[in-house]
Amino acid sequence: MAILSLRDVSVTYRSSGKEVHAINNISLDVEENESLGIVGESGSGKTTLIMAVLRLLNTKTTDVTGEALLKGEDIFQMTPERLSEIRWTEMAIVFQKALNALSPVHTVGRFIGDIYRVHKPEATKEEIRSVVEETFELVNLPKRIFKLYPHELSGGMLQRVSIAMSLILDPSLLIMDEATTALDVVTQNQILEEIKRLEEQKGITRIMITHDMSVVASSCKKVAVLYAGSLMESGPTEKVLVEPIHPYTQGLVESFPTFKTDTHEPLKSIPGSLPDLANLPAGCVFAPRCPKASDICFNSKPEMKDYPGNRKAACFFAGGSNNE
Amino acid sequence: MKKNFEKFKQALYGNTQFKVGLVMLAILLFIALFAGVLSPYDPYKLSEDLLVSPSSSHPLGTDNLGRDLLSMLFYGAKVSLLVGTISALIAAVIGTLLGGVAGFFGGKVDMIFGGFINIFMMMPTFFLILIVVALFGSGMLKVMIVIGLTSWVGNAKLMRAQALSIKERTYIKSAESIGESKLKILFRHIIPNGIFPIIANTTMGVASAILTESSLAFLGLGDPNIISWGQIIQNGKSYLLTGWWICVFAGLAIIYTVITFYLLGDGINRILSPKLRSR
Amino acid sequence: MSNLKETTPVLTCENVSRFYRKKEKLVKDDGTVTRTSIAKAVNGVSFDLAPGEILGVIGESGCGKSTLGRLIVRLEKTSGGNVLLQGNNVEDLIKKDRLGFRKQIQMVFQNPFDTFDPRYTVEKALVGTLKLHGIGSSTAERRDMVLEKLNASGLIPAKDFMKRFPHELSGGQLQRISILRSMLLSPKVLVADEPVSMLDISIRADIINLIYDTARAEGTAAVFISHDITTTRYIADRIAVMYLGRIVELGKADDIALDPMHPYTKALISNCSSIDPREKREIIKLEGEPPSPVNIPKGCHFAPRCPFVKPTCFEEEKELVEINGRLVRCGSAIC
Repeated sequence: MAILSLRDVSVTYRSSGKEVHAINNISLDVEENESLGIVGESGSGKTTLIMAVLRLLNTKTTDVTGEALLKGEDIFQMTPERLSEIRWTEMAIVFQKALNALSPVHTVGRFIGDIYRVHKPEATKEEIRSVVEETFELVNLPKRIFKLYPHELSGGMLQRVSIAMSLILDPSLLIMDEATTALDVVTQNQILEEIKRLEEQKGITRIMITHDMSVVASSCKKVAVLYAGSLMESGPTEKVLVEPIHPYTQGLVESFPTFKTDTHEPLKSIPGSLPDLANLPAGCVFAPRCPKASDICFNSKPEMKDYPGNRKAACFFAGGSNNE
Repeated sequence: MKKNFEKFKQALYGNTQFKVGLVMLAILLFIALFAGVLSPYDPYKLSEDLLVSPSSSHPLGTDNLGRDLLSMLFYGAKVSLLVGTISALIAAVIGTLLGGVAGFFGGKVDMIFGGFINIFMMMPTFFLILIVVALFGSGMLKVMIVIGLTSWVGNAKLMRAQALSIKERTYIKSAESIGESKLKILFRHIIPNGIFPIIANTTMGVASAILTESSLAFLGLGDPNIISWGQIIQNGKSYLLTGWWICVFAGLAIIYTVITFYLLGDGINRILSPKLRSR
Repeated sequence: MSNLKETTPVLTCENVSRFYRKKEKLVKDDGTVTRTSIAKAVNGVSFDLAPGEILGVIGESGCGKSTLGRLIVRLEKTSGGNVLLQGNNVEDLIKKDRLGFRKQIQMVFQNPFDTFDPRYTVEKALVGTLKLHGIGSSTAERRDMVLEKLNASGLIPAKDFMKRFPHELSGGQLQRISILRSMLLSPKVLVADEPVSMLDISIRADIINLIYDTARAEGTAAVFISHDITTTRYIADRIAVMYLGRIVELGKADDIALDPMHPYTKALISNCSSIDPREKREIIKLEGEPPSPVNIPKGCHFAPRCPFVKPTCFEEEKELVEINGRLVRCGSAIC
């Protein structure tokens, strides 16, 4: 069963008379125990999408349409009470800047303990402490961390603390927004290993939002590629990142420098730049930068279609042939 | 530039404070500029109608010397605006320079300039003004300069903080690596990019300078040859019971002007704050 | 490489160091004791840069690579050692002729969004740079020079770009303009400090190729600072690996990338990112926290995290030693 299903989700920002279409008709299923990586460059709307699902967008300046079903219940229709009930217990988030997620005047143990207390008011002090310490252990943090303040911790430790915080109430869905981006590669790899281990232990499903395809490659079973607010391609990681069928994904994968390529062979890139989100092209959003684009791409929007191997792509020429 | 201007215009429309302040300022400027035409009487002309209460011939009454209060207030507007603007500008220039130099150059320069700023902050400025005016006389120009010379501390603090943060920005490092001199960087990049809070503060500074001038005049230390609102109140305070209108209307004029500049300053502050500066 | 070595180096770093003093308050039972600690951001770095050569400097954040860059372009003063430009001490050069010196060493910064004064149009920034250095005789001539460069680098229509403000441009476009501005001065040395780390992957190659092509075309030597060894390997002739303010390995780019000798280089490369999920990788795990340049222990700086550590490593720090045409600072690698 899909733990989270997005149905036709669109997000529009309204500012000074302009409408910025940050997310356009995205439909996506996150199956249980199938960690999903959402890959996108700046302006792709990956963070907006997750903010919409978490209902953290400013309702005055943003329109969110569609459905986001968490175990069959539409998040967009939830009452504020129901919403705060499911936050942390059903779905939790880890942000990029761990330091901002913690209170500078409370010890990390106390801060995390308070979150636990809000949802389990009957818990005793000792109980809370032991739960927090257990969670610290899960993410390889020593017990002494309990009494430390955020500024006394290193970047890697802080990120572990915020992962511990998100796990404290045993959520079924864990969302990580560029959670390892600020870390150096060595620490990043360590934390990714730990997360994968945790997932298997506790049966958590993870959504990983990142611009870094290598993070998805090493930690996610499935991947969804976003560009300019639209879904380009999705499918199993080992298929999509190895043999991409959408020209955008192909471009991204080719841009990624690898060790195998010969030195000083010119690096590849995708020419052009992101379209104006307030004034999107009529056809495919990627058409202006696409090497395979033809007339049809500029005139009509490609739908997400199924391809062999449990994959989907939104392109008239996906897989090399014209399907129209 | 055009785009910035568009943004600025949009911010203006959304900012009630600034709009109200602007209308109030327009009225004030109109009165100050056309005081000669608008005034029903010559404000310096004495008449025999002493302490006449507001009536059709004297809308706001007359003072103890028979001068028409409305005309005096009109002429006083000119003085108040002049004093306020010029003092605030002097304070803005001094504050920007001292604060900019202290913040940008840092190190020992900051220790000296910053120390100077802090010492000045602790100074009881009003008494300083009193002493200076008592020693050197109370001509209009002197009053303006003295107020300006004593009210720059807030601006200096603001500019120092701005310079401290802006100098860490990449474009300052890049200007230095391109070869621009320190002074050029200070005047071309640091000050223009950090000036906005000082503009807002200076507008509010106009209000406080007008108050200071009124206080001086009220204490009898204003320029005796010029009609100012403070002076009108000082004169009128002896006639609070028999001629209440003198102090009340002059006081209202001061309040009106101070509110005008306060609204403008606050409005500018809101308009120029990160919203407009953001990318 | 051998023919490069015979010419005089365009840039020389001799034992360059940069220490920062930090005041740390230590509260003891008998009251407050103030103690100064010293952070050794760059600690005795030496290398030569031949004309037209591209040197890559890699390392994790906090290893001092960015500080080294700022020392070379003299945005900061060294605490010890000398930076020489064509044999002349940089401190003397900047005292004698600031503009002349700045013209010869240029820098491209990490954050393109903040490299230009937000109130300046592209035209004002670029034409102003030419004017500052007295290049071109009139504004019209300078404008034409800038137009030509913009056109040549694909910022088309150039006239349109000239009128834009930084916030109206994308990161890739801004970084291009930043490189163009530096290259307008035909510098002898270009220092690029993580020039692509804030850009999207799909446009990084453009920027790297632009640096590579213009540096090669103009014969400009470059120092390319990056945390990513894969990218650095493309562009650099030689690579220097830094750890805690020190160079731990320095050699030809392919030697370093394909056959690392220092344990730290090995670990860094094994942790290198890959997008192929099928790839079996043997990641060398490093113990402990990423380094802080304060209170570095005696002995090899890397010893506390080194997977190949020996007891002797904690006693004495090794010097850089030449092995097979490269420099390595490690006891284990040599034995």
